[in-house]
Amino acid sequence: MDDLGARINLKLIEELRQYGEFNVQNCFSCGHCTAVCNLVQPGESFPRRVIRYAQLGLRDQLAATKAVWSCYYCGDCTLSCPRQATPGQLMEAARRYFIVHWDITTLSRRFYTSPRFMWVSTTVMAVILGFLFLATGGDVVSKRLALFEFMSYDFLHYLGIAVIALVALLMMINAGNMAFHVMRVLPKTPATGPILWIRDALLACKDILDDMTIQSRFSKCRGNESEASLPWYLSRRVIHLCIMWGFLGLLGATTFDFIFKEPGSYVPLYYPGRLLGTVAGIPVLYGTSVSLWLRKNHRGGASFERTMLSDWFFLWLLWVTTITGYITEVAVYLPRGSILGYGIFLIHVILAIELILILPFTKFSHVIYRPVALYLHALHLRRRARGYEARVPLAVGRPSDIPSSA
Amino acid sequence: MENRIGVYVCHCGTNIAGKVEVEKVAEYAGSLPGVVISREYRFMCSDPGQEQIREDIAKHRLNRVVVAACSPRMHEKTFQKTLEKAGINRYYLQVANIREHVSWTTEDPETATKKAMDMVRAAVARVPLHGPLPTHEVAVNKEVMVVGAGIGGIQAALDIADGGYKVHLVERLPSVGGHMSQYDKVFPTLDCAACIGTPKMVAVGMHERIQLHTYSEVEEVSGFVGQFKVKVRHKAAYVNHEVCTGCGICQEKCPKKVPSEYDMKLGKRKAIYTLFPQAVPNKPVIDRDNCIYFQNGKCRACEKFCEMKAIDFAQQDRVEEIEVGSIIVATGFDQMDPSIIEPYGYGRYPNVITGLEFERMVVGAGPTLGKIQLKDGSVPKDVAILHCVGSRDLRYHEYCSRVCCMYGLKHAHQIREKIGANVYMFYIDMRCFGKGYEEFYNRVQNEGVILIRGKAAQVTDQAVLPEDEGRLIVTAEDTATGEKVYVPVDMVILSAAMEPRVDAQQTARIFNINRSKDGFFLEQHPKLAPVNTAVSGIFLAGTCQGPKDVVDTVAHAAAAASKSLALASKGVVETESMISWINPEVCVGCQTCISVCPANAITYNERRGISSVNEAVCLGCGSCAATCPSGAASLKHFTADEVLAEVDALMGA
Repeated sequence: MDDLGARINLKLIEELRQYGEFNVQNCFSCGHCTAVCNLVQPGESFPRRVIRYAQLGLRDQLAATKAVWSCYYCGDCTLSCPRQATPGQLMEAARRYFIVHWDITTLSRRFYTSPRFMWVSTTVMAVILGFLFLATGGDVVSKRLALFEFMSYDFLHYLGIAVIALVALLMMINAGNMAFHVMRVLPKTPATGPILWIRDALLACKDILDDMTIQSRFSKCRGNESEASLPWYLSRRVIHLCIMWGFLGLLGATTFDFIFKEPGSYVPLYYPGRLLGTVAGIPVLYGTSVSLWLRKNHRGGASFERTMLSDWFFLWLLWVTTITGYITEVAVYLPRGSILGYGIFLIHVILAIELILILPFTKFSHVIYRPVALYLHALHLRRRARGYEARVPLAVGRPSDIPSSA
Repeated sequence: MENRIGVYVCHCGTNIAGKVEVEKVAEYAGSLPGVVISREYRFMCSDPGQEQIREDIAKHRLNRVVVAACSPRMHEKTFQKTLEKAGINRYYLQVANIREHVSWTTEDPETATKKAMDMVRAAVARVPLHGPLPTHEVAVNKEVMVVGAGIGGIQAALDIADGGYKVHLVERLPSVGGHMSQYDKVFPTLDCAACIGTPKMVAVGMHERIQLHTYSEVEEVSGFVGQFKVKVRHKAAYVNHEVCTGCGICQEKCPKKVPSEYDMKLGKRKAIYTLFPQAVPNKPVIDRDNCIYFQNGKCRACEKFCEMKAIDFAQQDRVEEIEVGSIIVATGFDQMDPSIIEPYGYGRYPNVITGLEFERMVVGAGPTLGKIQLKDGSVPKDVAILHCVGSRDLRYHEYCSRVCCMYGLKHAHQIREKIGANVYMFYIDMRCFGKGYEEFYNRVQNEGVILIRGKAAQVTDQAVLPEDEGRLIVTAEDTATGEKVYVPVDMVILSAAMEPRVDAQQTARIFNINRSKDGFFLEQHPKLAPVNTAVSGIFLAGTCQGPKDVVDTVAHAAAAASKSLALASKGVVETESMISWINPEVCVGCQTCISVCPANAITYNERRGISSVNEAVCLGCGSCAATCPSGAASLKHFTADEVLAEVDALMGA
């Protein structure tokens, strides 16, 4: 026998335990969790299969499953599990595990598992940044708030570009790492030639468009009583969309400013970059505030029950950065510059850069892993369907596992 | 008298010797004051081990023995016998528990060895203070009471009565028969339940040594093994059963119809009723809450038509005190009400029914005359059977109810046989462990039943396809393929869990017995004493001890019967020697002990102004000794001197 199958490995579950508390050794594989899940699609059987992979330690299979990234964690499975095996908690731990697993720098693991490392590294980074900003600028003009006399614009500009480039590169490498391993595990599909290849790639993009934009499936995920009892504007979907689109808006505004705007110049509120930033900040502030409040009170759904430091950190950072951004925006209208105004601006800039820097290592990095996973599976389905088409006469019709247009 | 103590340290294979250095312990014991000989041996409880003790007692003229071994609960009796055979009083023994208290619970071998030495030293310090305790025997009343006349109680009663002793069979309902009489067929042989059950019911009713107390409940139990006094309340039936011939005219003429509990409310009964046509005794009772006469003073139809003039509206409850030597508790189970499992829609959808309801539906003499039908009278085309409803579910009952797999399969078979409908069974595991059970599973599979390995998630009426409108949809994951599946059906049968009787706590209090975590009555030992309780002379039979099928219930009941028979046929029972004693010189008559005694064994003597212990009743729990403010009450074999000697030796390490 050449192929003995997958090797059972008991280490995986212990590794997963570092990223959440769960009880899946209790699972007797009755499938109740899968049956109550509103997100399971034909051919899928999560959380049960994810539990099985974890129990047997089939890391490659677990890594390649879309399930981990399909779940929005309403917690229905955990509530209704006859063995109280907490499948939802395992799914969450698995997401954290893979955020760590695909990160080639291993910093994510340290962020998740060592609060001390998180605090020390971010504090040291903040001190260094503060020192550099003050060393390159530091002129305090008290007649008016002259931000870019206080801070060297050139330094900020190039540092910003460098940080964004570094983070983008890291995220792409990690995404590539993930894609490589997932593709290796997914069954091979027949070659189809370049035109169909591009066509499938585009169709797969279309398949995941909803998930990438309005996430309508998220609305199916409100079975949990504590969540269903909250008004729609406190639902996790709304919170998530607010933070996601707001963050993208802020990122867009910053990029726009970097490219088009004359440094430090005054622009009116309707200037596109400023307007975008001002408007986008509102949903971010709303989303992060509500999220922090719900998480603190353990309300609003199972995913808010247990928050790790790494998750807190990202949310707080985003919240403080947005608040300080707004204060700065108001402060420029003040007749006189004050130490307080400059201080808040300094904090804003330092935190914004830290925020970007920790992106690949926190919960936030799901922005790359999730689309990559969904895309690869959509693509795989498209190409597999293409394989069927080649063999099956067209008259029979399309096989059922081609996703309908999402 | 000079103390001559022998110390014996047991290896218990590697149980003790694997952790404790037994040689060192024995050597140390030899150095203690009063110890004449000390030995270690692989298994002290074995014949050679006991023989060694006997030899030493003779050779070294030992008058006290310390055995350092397992818990005294295991082998104290064994070694007491050894002492007795060697001619010294059995209470000259002290057991130091160096297995449960030392080797099994201590990590470090050195600490364990040291602790074992401490415990041996304490035992050696205590044992010289032991006095000889006398043993008493009391006569056993040869009558036996069986409480509950389901198949378990019936079996136990018949076995004992056939053994030649009188049985009082107490049943709460108007007829014997229990749950089994409600069934159509019983797995795996598909015997008709009535065909094999009613002969036993009739046998119970006719047996010369069985006195039936139907429509009666046990109210109070006092006394002790061999001498129980049981107060039984005979509920007023408002029918004089002495003269009633069971002709049935009263039931025919009674104008008031109410849903029949016996038929799971699928059918109706009258306000004067018998449970079912083959009821034993086949004599009716009046349901006071529903009788028109009792409600508004008119009617009396039954009275008018009864030729025997048996109706007696003035009848009162009657409490009888019955003296018996032992009691068998066979109070059975309740079927869990699945309406608390909201997603299954029991109580919301009329065609979601329980296994017991299906049983009444499929029984030929039942309310539908055996027709399997929906609430609108039509015949279902598709039926789903949901297993593990409330069983194997930490939200309801953690335990497996042990019968649902098999009765689910039986129902599937009955549906296939009677109406040919498609049957879908949603199960987690098929547990077909008994004789002929796996074969039955295979047979039902061959009859075309669809088996879906996955716990059903919900029953809903929200159809996806138009053709499924108005039907019930059952969803689950078929874990064998990993596909989420649903099936439209017309009827859903919930194989609901067996659970303890709703009043099990009250019953436990009456009989002074305990309940296990799952709520069923607790046996003395799950393997080796499955019918005994912690109360000597009270035994368990059937499902009141835990879920069982008919096969196991009958075997369990026969086992309980053999315990009662053994007591009755021996005729005497030895009473506990380690009991309380109240020193009349010290007692001031404050009666605090009386308030804490769980056995009501202490009485206050007005004339002398002191309390005293009834030796036959005392359980030896020590509550009075612990509570007595003047130190007058003490527990023999656990006197203050003995316990303090032990403590002093432990502390003085």
